[in-house]
Amino acid sequence: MSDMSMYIPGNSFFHKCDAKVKMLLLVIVSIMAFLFHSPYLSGFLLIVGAVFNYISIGNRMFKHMLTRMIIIMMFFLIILHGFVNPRGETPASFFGQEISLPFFGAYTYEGFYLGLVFWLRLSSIIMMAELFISTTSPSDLIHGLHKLGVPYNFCFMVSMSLQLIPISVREAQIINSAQRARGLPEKSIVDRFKGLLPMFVPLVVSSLERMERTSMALECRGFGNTNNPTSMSDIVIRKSDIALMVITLLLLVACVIIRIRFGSFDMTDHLTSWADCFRLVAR
Amino acid sequence: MSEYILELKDVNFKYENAPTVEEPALKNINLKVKKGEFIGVIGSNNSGKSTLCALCNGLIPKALDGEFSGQVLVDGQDIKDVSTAKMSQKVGLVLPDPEAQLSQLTVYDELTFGPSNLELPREKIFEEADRVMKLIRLENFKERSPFSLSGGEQQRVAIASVLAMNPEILVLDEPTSNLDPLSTQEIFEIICKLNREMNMTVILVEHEVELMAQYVDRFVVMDNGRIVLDGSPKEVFSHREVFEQIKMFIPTVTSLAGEIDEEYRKWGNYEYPITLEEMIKIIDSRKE
Repeated sequence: MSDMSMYIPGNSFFHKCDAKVKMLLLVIVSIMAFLFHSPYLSGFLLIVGAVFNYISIGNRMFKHMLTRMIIIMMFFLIILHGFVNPRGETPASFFGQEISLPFFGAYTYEGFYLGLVFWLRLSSIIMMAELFISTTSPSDLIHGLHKLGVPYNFCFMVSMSLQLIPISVREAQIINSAQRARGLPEKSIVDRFKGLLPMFVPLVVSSLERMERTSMALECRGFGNTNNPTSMSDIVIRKSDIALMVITLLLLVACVIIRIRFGSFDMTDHLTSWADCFRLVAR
Repeated sequence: MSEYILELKDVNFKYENAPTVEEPALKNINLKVKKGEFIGVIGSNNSGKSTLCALCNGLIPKALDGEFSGQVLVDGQDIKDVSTAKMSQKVGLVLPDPEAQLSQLTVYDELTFGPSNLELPREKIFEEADRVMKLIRLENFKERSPFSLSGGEQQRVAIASVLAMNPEILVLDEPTSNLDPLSTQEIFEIICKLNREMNMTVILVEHEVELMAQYVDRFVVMDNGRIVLDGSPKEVFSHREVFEQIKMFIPTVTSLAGEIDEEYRKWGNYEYPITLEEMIKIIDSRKE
């Protein structure tokens, strides 16, 4: 708990990439993922995102919290959607058999298709976010925000609160143990909720006191002297960053044109078999 | 330019937001500090030690409200005329709680934070941070989060981050109050090194009288907002009755020598010892 940021230090292409470029990449991928109602583009983006992640952080991507989230979402979106999606009409055949749940009915092609599309959309964005978070050190992120025009004091506040969460959690634990040691009842759930109140007051007071001391320490180190402190970030925009930016922008433009000319490739109304779910154009 | 780097003249201070406390925190403080001196400030709780520290770099009267009278001169400049940020390059203040002093995401950011607020050029900041990192031996922690370190390491980072501002005077307010004996010793050695090798003026507020006696050049003993004793360790500890009156301890060996005063005088016209080594030497010389 001592480190809330999910940053994984490294030396890859994306680690050296400017935070602003990565932010733009994340925004573009988020737009592209929602452009089409078909699994192909977002699936492609998910694979690209996974490859980028693997290049940057290697095997550690499999243990990353966000990767786990994608897998948990797969269960909810693909499996449950098949049963519960209100648009589901055609029961899917599993080797000639239908599978159905009480109350919800059969597993349908439409449910599977919609669930798959939605899962791929979300997970491609999450994959990109994972790339962004795990390769951007929090201080670079804050410098990036500052350069985008966010005031320095606000950026400082963001980085300060990132640190405060684990400290407050620890403090809360200490206060809680102290009160339990003095006989705070903790048998039922109601008791536990009652116990929150006596914990809350000392927690707020101690946080305020801590902030008072911190502000003194910050003043001793010249905080507030300037709104434009010397930037200590080593990262500069390279040619390859610009190339990456241009390629993704071109891809976005191309996708938007295709979307306008040919529609969203929605197959929901034309599903009769498993193969239909992966067709680009209806038969 | 006067010969004193820090001068307090007739300083009185009373906190504004302490209505229950009638007494001022500081009464008639006069203190002159020469460049390169290592001063230890001791006294019981509420004797005004921390207030004295905050005075040295202008946090009082600028950031903390209260009734202030008198004059504080740092290097001949009145602290009222200079902003706290500018003053931070002259006087570095280290506070008791190591964790509350840290605010950045890595140790290295912590070191560069202060100088970057002063808008110094990049190269100079890196140079300064690397120098301090070597001095305090923080190389191994460079990329770590300061909050993942132990208390002693955190306090070292806090001292380093103040040193990165390149101050002439280092003021430490109970820097070892939360630390174990080993870390305490370590911090003391760092402070001593700064004073001896870099000729930095150090004002150290502490409770570890015995440990301080080994290092400091001069003791200032405070009680109830007043300076009651001021002088070299030997001078100060020879006033046993004053320490008894303000309920403070003096080093055990000094106290022992005082207890066996008559016998001790017979051994020759010795001064009271203040460290264990001195006492051992004296006893050894008796054996011969």
